[in-house]
Amino acid sequence: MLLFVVRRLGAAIPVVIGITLIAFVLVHVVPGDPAKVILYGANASPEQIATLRQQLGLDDPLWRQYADFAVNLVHGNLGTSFLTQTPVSHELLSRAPSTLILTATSMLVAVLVGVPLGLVAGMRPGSVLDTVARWISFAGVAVPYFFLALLLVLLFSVKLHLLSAIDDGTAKSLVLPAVSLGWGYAAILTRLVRGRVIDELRSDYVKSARARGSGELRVLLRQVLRNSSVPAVTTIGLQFGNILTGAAITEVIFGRAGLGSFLATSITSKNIPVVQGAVVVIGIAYVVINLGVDLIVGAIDPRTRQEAAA
Amino acid sequence: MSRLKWVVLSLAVLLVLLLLLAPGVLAHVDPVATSDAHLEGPSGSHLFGTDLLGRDVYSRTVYGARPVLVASFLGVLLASAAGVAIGVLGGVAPRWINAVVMRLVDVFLALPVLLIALILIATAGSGVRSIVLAIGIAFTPGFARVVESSVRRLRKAEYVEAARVFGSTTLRTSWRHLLPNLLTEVVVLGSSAIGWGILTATTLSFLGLGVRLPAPDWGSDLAAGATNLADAWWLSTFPGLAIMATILLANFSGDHLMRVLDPRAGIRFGRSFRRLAIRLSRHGGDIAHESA
Amino acid sequence: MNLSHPGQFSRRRLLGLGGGLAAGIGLAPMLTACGDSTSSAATPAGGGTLTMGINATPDTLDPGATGLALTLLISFALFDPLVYWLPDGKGGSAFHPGLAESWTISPDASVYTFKLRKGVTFHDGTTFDAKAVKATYDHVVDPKTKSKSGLGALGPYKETKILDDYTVQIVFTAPNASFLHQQAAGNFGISSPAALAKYGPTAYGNNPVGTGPFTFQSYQAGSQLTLLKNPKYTWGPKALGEGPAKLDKLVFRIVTDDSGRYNALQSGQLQIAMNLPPNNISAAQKSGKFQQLLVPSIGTPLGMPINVTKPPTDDPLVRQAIMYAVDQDALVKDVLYDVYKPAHNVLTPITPGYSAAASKTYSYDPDKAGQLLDQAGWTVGDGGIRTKNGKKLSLEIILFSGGGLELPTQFAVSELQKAGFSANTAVQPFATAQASFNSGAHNLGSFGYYGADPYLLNIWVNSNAIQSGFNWSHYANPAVDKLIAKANATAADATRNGLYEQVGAKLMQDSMYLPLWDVAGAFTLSPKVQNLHQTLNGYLAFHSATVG
Repeated sequence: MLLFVVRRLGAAIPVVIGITLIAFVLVHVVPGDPAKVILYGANASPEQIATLRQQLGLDDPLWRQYADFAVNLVHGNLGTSFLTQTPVSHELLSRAPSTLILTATSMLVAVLVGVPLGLVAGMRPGSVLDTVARWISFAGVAVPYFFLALLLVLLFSVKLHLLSAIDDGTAKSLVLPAVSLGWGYAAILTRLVRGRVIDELRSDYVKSARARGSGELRVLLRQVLRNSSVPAVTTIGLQFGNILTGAAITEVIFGRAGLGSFLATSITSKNIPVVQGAVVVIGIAYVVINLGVDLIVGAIDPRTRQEAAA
Repeated sequence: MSRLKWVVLSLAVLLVLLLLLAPGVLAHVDPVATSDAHLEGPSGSHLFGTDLLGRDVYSRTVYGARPVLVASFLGVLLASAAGVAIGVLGGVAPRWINAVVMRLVDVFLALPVLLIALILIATAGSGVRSIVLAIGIAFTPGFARVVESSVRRLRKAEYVEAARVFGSTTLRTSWRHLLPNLLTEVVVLGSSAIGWGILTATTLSFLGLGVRLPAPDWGSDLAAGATNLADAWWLSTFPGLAIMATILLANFSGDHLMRVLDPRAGIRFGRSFRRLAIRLSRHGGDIAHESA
Repeated sequence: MNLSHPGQFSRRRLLGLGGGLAAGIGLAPMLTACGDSTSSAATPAGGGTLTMGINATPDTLDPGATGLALTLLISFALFDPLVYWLPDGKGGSAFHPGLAESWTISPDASVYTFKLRKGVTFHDGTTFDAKAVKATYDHVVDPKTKSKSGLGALGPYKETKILDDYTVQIVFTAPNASFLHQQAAGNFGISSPAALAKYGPTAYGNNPVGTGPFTFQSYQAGSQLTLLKNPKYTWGPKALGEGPAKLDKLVFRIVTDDSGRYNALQSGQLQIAMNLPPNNISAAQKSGKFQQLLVPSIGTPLGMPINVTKPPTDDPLVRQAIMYAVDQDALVKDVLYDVYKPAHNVLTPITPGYSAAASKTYSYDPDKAGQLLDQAGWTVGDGGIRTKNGKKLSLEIILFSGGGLELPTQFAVSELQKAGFSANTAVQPFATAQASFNSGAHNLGSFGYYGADPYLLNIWVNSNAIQSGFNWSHYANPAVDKLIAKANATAADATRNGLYEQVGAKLMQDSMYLPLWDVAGAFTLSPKVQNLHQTLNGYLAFHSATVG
């Protein structure tokens, strides 16, 4: 087990470095001069722009800019936002909790809806309940979350005045964004769990357990649910990049100050330090989450551990 | 497979082909032509109503299919081609090359689609081409991972070993034995990725990264009508429904294709699906989960 | 001084610059009466919290450093300028003593002397005096402040001389007639020298300390800014109400999404929503549940700079044809729900130096547009698109996303098509578009500017602003450059305005800018909100505001 963790960590380090490197290079590819962006609104002369470029180190060779960035990174310093002149780490930290809460809650919605629905459907394949569950999941995957979000706000906050249209820090205002974002994943999970349950129920060990007379419910809970949760957990880990993209749009729609929307605006305004910082944080989060997923899956199902380590 | 399903599927395929190649058959009004009928609700003369500039929403919905379909089909095609190339390379190459390639794949897997798309669009401009590239790049790692693991598994298969023993070179081995085996797998993966491709393409055009104005596009038309949802519901609702219907159709066909094609799984959906899921749960691949 | 980055921050604005840089699309005087009537309404009880939804994220709360018009809006609640310059409610404007009780200007407009008010204290308890004025202005020019709009607005600043504790002289190296307007526009609210020293030039942006009717309480980056009533405030101008603020709390809530602000207004989470898209403004008005406050701004109307160097718009006849082909009145009526005021000039009507005559240079006349194109050698070809020597008459249009011009441009393009143009429209993120505009890749671009003085023309028509500034028309006319410089060196208002009128007429004649509608701030409010006041740059003053 320890070896497994060490191996995975070893594999993670180059990934994190690669992510920072790629982010660094890519952002420089984006046309536009950050100095001009910063001086937006000013009647800046070419001299002012040149001075600012020098101050920002934008005229240094790229390798040196990256080296400076990397050295600072090691010291835990992510630089200063071009736009606000405040430390990037500060800006990211103030926005990270919002994104973390949103994604965690929407994944909770996905699990709370998707797993029971998949279980029920998988237990009686072909039944009415199964058909209903399958159609719900079909439709769930198909509804674009941004469209769903608009419809939900219109219904629940504008028309019915039941829930908040924008974030106000309360749990209540989290309901609509979490449902919008989590719904599609609930549908995916339903399908994954259903398929798994069907197979598990037909597997030899369940059959023998049944033959030995264990109650069906207990069989399900002990074995099937455990094994079925493997794809569920894995999906969540692997969907990270997509969830973050969804979070960016959900954040904008619901007026949430989060990482996703912050990253998006920073790319297009060439706010290089913020993009680099955000990508480092996202990259590390991705690696950590997937490491966690592997550990959980490994704990649930030892077979995968051997295979993954192989 | 019931006859009804075949009929539905064939009709759907026909519809998609029409939308792609000859939308004029379905809608006679120019989707960018403005008129004095501003913001009129659905009626006999304007089936889906009109928008702020008096353009026909039905026509825009019909013509708006092309950029979405093109972006998702080509994007997934690009991703599967690149994914196969990278996966095979990773699978047959020596260990250290494999390590480098697969770490690189990991890096791209960690980059959100939005990041890739925004950088591309800021660089190359908005348009279908950029969205195709964004989907292609974003989906490649998923394909690459699945293909790589399959290649490694297949290489251990007896008949491949045998071919090697009889002196076949690595390249010929992969060409003659690996690729045909991979093909069905890639088709299955690809078909299930189309639905996700459509969602991604419309998400990006929802953000205004899609077609050039004033060309119709489901995502950008949906976004443009969003502030009118309460007073002119038809502006966003029809493009929204069109997106839903297309994703449904893509997933439905994808499932069907999987049942027909996946040779190892036979005809039962559950098992083929399970295999895919297990494979992915071990080796990643962010695509197939969605619609598998 | 702020480039407008106007309303309609749709989800597309993800691509805009970090949350949009300025106030909004404007609705002009149509409802000005409504705006002023609020001050005469019966005074409801004070207290309570007013939450206003703003459409962008402030870059800093230091008005001297900011590049965003939005921060200037906020600065009117936190700071006082030396002299207030406010609308008089009759279509004109007037100066009112702020932290200065009186002032004089040297005949060459290079030395401004201010007699300061006594008994004023900053939010941190320190006393306001001449040292504060010097510290504030020196802070703006300090390179460490990295001032964006303030530095440009200040002009050729030399120094602030302290004559005694309550008398200062602000001295320029050259005549600078725009200064009295500029100092009132929000960038130069007087800061506490103690706070500037305590936090340093950049961290001060998160800890603003002024003398205004509200004190800074907290700022959650990207989310909301909370201000509290300043109970000691008694030195505000009478025109904005007497005594301390009535509200207990003033909250600026950042909601960048247009529908988000409208939804939150409807659900009661906001009492004021800033810069809603026109269709929502119209719907809100029709619902009868909300009031609409439209605050016209000094500045350049939203519109499209016409590149005078790139073919085919290098030909004056083609440019004139564009001016005749687009019907601003129909645009405002059809696309902007009649909530905005069509523009026919390079300056908005409330801007000093606005030339009413110049506004009549062109009128909608598609036939005339056709004749001009014929004259220029562009003849009607297949599909109604004109050609010349086998080349199609085609325009490259570049917009920056979140600029609010996407839909209006589609309208303009449909009009241009009728005249025989074909057009190719690209929407680019702001930084990308800015690079395109500077390099001259476009025939038509997008622009609009909120300002305080007609000298703002210097920012976007001066020939030195082509490569790196906002001269996106690539217009280089030394005579115009000189005329603007001369105007800003002229202290006498009438003479100065006359010179600006000449500039405006010349610019319209050269058809280097297609104006579409006037910039202004649009505020949709719950009827509970009363006694708001307007500024001259499209903003609100909350000095005596109340909430139901």
